[in-house]
Amino acid sequence: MSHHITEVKELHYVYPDGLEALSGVSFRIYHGESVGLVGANGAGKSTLLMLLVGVLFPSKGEVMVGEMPVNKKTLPLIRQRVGMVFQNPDDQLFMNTVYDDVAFGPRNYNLGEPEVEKRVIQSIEKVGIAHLKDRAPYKLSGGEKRSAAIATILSMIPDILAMDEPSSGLDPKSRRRLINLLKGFSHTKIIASHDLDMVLELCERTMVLKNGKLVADGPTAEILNDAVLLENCGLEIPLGLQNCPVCGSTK
Amino acid sequence: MAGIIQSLYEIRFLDELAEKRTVIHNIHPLAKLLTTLIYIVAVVSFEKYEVSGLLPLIFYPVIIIGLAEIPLLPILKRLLLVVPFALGIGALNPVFDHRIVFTAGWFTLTGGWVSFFSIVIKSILTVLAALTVIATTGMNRISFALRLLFVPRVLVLQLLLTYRYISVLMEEVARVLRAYHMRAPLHKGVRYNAWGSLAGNLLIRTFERAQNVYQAMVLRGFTGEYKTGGAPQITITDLLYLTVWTLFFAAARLFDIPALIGSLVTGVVK
Ligand SMILES: Nc1ncnc2c1ncn2[C@@H]1O[C@H](COP(=O)(O)OP(=O)(O)O)[C@@H](O)[C@H]1O
Ligand SMILES: [Mg+2]
Repeated sequence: MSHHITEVKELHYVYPDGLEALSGVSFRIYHGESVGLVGANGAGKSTLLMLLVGVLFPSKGEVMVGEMPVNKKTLPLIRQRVGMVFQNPDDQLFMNTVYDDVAFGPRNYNLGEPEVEKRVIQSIEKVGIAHLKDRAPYKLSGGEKRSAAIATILSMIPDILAMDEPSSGLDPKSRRRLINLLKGFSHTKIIASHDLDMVLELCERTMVLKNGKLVADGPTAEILNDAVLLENCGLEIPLGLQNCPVCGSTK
Repeated sequence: MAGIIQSLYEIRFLDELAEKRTVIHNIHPLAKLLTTLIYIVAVVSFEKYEVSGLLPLIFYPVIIIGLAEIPLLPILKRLLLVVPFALGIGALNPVFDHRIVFTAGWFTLTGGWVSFFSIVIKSILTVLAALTVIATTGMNRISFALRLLFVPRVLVLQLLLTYRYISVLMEEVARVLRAYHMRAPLHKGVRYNAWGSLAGNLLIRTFERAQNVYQAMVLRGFTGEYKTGGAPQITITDLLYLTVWTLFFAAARLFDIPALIGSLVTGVVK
């Protein structure tokens, strides 16, 4: 199963303006794992995800997806295996219909049109927006856009889903739908978020980033219960683990 | 102000029209592109003082707009955006060119005015042709057709991304303006002291968004060509479309049809 491991070794990333966004991050993620990547704004979560999909390249260190190092040569393969859902779905939806948008990836990989259609239909059905297939993406609601963005990634049949703040900007009902949807996925998942309640529900493992360093990595239940650690990193214990604020009963 | 924001959001309107399915939409993009190019060449090749000979060529956009069920008003609105440029280019002709080409009693028509009208008509026709081809084909399929014509990939990519960038820019403009007017509801326009920061902000934001969009495309395997799904085959209908229009343009170019009809009618009357 070694080809399903995602590994990051001593990763450093310095932005062109000299800001060191990541300094020495290392971890391994195994096949089928669901990992929460938490940390305050500016901790380096988005930067880390960009490095995983090869939008950025490390200043130092290495990223391995499966047995492949992420570099210019392996990019087409890497990008097929790691699907990245952007924080802002507007950036991800750029075609004129939902259908064409979801078909964009598979078509770029030169699949025949029948196969493309099969994948598109499967993906939009999976995220529950089959009825929107001929609509213009920029006219959808926030939740629908998010679903569409996820469908554009699913149609590439990736092994690994990397998501940047997937629940941001969603109302409670859409957020709930998203969580249930993600629960149903068997992909390896890396979810960057400060929605700790969502991480608690979706991820058995959590990594905490602070100022570009990995300060904790372990079972979600432990980490998200560690008030001191979370406080230190600009976060707080998720509501789901706090004592009831109304009646004071302990969990 | 709401008006401006609304019209900015309409920037994608042509793309939406291009998703319709009519006789014209179903013609192969290459046939439509070539027809448009030939049309534009025909229009532009008329000499400086030609007005009446240009008139039959109006049939082309009119017929296309009719058959493709393109709503007239939005297209005319876009056309109006371009007319000032044409007026600007032709404006000086009447001033400099006083050669009299026609007199009827007190009325004299100078060469300057004739060439002025000729320029305006030519601009309107070419812009209409360009708008209709985009509205019936869509930029993505046009670029596919350009590739079939062996236009280099980089150029096509430039065109596509510029086109995409315009809508990104417009959307950001709409957002920034909305934010401005939420906090300055009484201003009619944007105060000059806010222009600098507004424009700077806009530039950075559009740049960032354009970059994000491009990254999202690259992440899904984009290598510089829009694959629009199953290259359609060129059929007899497409060839007929191209041939018939080309013959019509050639006829309009070679014979002064209005004059012919005129002499025919007067001949009959006599
Ligand atoms: N394009 C950029 N240029 C320079 N610095 C950046 C850029 N993008 C992000 N940063 C900086 O890198 C750090 C990490 O950012 P980011 O990865 O976006 O954090 P997060 O996603 O955890 O909020 C921040 O301090 C941020 O200001
Ligand atoms: Mg971020």
